[in-house]
Amino acid sequence: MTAVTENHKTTEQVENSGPVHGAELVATNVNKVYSRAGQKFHAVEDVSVTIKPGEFVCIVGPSGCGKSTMMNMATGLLEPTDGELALDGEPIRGPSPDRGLVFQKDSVFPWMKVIDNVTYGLKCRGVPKEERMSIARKFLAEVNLTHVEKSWPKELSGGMLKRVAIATAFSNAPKLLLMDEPFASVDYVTRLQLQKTVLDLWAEHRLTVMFVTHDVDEALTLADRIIVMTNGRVVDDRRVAAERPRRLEALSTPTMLEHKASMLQHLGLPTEGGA
Amino acid sequence: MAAVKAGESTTAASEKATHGAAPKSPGRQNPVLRVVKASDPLALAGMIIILAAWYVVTEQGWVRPVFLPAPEQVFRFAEAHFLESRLVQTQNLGDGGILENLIYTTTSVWLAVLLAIIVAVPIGLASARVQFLRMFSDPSLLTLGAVPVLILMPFFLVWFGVSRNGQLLLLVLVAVPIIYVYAQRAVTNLDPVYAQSALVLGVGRVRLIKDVYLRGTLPEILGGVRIALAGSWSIAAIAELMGAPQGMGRLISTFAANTNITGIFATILILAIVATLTDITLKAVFMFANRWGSVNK
Repeated sequence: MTAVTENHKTTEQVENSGPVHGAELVATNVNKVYSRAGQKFHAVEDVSVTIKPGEFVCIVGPSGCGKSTMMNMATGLLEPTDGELALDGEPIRGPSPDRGLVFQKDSVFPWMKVIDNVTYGLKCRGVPKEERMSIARKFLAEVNLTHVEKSWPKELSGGMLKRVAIATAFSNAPKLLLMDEPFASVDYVTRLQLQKTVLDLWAEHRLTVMFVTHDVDEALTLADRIIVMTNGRVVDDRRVAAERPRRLEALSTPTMLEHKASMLQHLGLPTEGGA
Repeated sequence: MAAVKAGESTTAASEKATHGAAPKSPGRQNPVLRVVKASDPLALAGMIIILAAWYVVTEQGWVRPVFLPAPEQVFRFAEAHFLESRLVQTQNLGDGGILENLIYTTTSVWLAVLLAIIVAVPIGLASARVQFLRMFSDPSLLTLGAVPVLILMPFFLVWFGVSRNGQLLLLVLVAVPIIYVYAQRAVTNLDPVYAQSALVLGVGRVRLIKDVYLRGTLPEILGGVRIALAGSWSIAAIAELMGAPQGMGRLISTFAANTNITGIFATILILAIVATLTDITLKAVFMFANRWGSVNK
């Protein structure tokens, strides 16, 4: 049982001013048990977490630690076996545009042009054409893709497709943005660029972000708060107070290195002298 | 003809493009140009070579005209009997000529494939997702695909008499398993991430089927339709032999009974041309439906 409760001062976590659009995500004693071939597998075990409005939270853990399962339950694509997740007090039942998701895989529809992908969520919700086009163009501009709005996705690189996915998610104005190892498959330089894009958009639109990654450095670069999961449990929950943007120097301060060492320890890696 | 994920084919494209010019997008194409593009120049060249060989062989007298008539002879016969033909009329194959029989057979084939699409596509798409449906559709339709359906023709003759219905049913039975398998496989090949993504964006049930499942699988389904159609022409001709008021198959068998080799050749040639033109048109439609994909066939 690892119920994590912390006292957060929401006003201090966000460096930028302006209204927060993000919602509060509360997970209460969430369990997820998979049965595969008669064998029961506890993917998520008794997780209780509160993510404050506007917070940028990273969930770090090795493959199979339950972080993606947590994410899928927050989107509503999966139902918890036991316990409850709620967004702003509303229990989560099934997917909703309130909760956007950027997938690890390429999820941009290859059969729609870039602009039609970005406007698709708005179209589904009946937003008039003029309005959805202007919203989509705004976000395409923010991710530097204005010049490819009429292109087919097959004409774009992997990094550009991620940008389309990000623009699509933001266009839909979610209160909570879930990102499931979104940059795991792009090259290092592109990943750094994409991290900056996400941080900029987050700072501007002030939504709540839950970002799953297996990369400790990525989490330290991005997050206000880092939750470490192993074997379906939360084993560590820490706040990262450093200012953004966090460049190389910011990531090598004693505090940051301490964060990193401590997290690696929680992940089961010896960090000092191999002892 | 797997639905290739967009990302895989383009990883080579540089991220630099973000700041450069827009990648070249294939502009709007004239439909006629599409059809021309869909006709394979190599296949066309092959056809010309075969025609040339035919011409040389008969011109040189290497083969006697009784066995293989000269091309001009066949063309002249086709021209003379196309619209109006006493020969066709006296055999009770309609009031016109070859054209009337051609229309009969073509109508059977197109109508049957259309009916097969209406039946097989929804079942095929749904069966990929609904296990309970697949439990019934897979064994019955895959068995049907393995059965030599021509043996059913005598039954159809008893049930429907000498009418189009028997041939139509036979053609539908041939086309349905093919289109079914293609539609089912298309959904299986479609990455589930697209449906999940649509759900997260707030899609409704109708849009999910229309915008994700149908649009994402259309090229593969059309590929199946092409194959079903290609096989249908010969099945249609053979089915007519067992009892049809008219049609290209009947025409061929009548000419055969009268040892009219030129007539047989002319009929087969015309049928082949129509089948090829149909295929080219469908291929153009396929290429249009697949303009977003990296599948190119």
